[in-house]
Amino acid sequence: MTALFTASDLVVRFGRTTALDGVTLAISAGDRLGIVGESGSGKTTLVRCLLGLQTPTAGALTRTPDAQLVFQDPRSSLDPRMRVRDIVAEPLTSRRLRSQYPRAVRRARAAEVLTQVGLRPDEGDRYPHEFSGGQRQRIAIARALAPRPTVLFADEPVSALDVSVRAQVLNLLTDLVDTEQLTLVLVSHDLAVVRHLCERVVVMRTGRIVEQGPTEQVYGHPREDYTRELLAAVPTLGSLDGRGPADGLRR
Amino acid sequence: MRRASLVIGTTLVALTVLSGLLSLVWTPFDPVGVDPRSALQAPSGAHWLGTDQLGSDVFSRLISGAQICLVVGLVSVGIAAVVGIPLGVLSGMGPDWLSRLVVRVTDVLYAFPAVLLAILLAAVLGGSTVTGLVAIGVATIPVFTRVTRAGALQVMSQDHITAARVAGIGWFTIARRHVLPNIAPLLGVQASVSFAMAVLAEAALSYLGLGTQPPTPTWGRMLYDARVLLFSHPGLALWPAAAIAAAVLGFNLLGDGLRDLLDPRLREVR
Repeated sequence: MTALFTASDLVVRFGRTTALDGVTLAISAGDRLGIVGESGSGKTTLVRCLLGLQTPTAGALTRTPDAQLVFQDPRSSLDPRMRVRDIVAEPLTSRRLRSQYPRAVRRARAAEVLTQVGLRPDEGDRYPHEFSGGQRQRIAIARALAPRPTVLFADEPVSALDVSVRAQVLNLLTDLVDTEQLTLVLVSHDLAVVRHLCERVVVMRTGRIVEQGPTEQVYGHPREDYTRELLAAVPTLGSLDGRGPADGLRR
Repeated sequence: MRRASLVIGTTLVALTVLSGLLSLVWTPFDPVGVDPRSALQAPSGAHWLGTDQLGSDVFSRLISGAQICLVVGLVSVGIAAVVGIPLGVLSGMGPDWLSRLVVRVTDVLYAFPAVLLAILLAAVLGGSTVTGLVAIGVATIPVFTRVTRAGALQVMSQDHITAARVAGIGWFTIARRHVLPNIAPLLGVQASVSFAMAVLAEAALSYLGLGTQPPTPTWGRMLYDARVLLFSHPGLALWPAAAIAAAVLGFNLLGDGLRDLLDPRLREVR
């Protein structure tokens, strides 16, 4: 398998605070990697480095530019002054892709991805504020899919959503990762979400990777106390209806 | 309510513009004509708003005054916007050192009141309409820079900018596609407020003799000339004052109305 991203001994400092403190990580094509950890553990900084949004203070990094990102809050990630069609097609207007996607092709692709995420193509005429939170996250996912990326990053993709629509959006992500054969990097503090989507998990704490391995192994037999604490802190929603966490999700 | 401010604002601005245009082709009397025999007449069928102490027709001077008002407003706001907005975008999006540099320069410029700039310019060029509008325009640059910078910083902190960067969209395109449209309402309101301020500043500069020189009619100059007759002939001060107030209010209301009209979030959902 080809490594799409390799980071070795990555360090990021903001003034006196150290956000990443020597992270070494490889992500291969086809991986479904979950990055978990509490707030401030460096998850988002790591993702920003991998996406080229943050220059590391030290360490080596190779990355593929062929990656897209789904954000936590679709209110902030969709420009309120652009029509949904233009938002979704925006990645196709980059210098790299512009020549492959003339105007008409862009429109067609926008309609295509909107359909893929369960929206009607004619809804592309509308503005983001006319949609619900779950629908907006679908639009953000459609935008991420539009340039046919090989890697999809999702930073807390359902944390800002109502519990009632979380499962729908997660199922959509699962389906798309399957059908588009995407490499997925999912950042979340919600361990149930990671378990549902990811085969491999990385546990971060204070800018370091403290444990990593196959999801079931890390969840079943955590080697680190910190991981155990994280797992113990998961609210057992599933116990209410007698099923395990996230069993309400289709898989 | 929203409609109302747009309608009233448009009406007042249209009135000012139409007066200015009308005065280019027709005025009842020569606005700069002097006729001492008919000085200080009360309003009549011939002189609709009466005459001033030199016997000039007040109505003719009033509608001609709209020309200078609009020219000074447009050109000075234009100067301020053309220089100030790019500077603001640059400091809102650019690297830290550039951002700081622009802020420092802006602060220095901000410390100079329009009147002081006008005095400096008038010392070099002599008092004229051009001196006035350049002074007002330059003095308004930092206002636009600040508003643009503040707006740009706010927009830049949003995830849709990050999304565009991840997708490989260039800085210039981000500025044009995301930053400027999102701060356009802010700038529109600022432009209308600055326009109003420019009209006032022009009146003040004319009053001080640093702006437009007599006999060219301006509302500020008319106000100045009327001050000694405030109690005997209040109408002479009332009309230019009302014209200034109407223009200032009109541009403010128009700015508010446009801001709301241009915001898709406030538009009725179809």
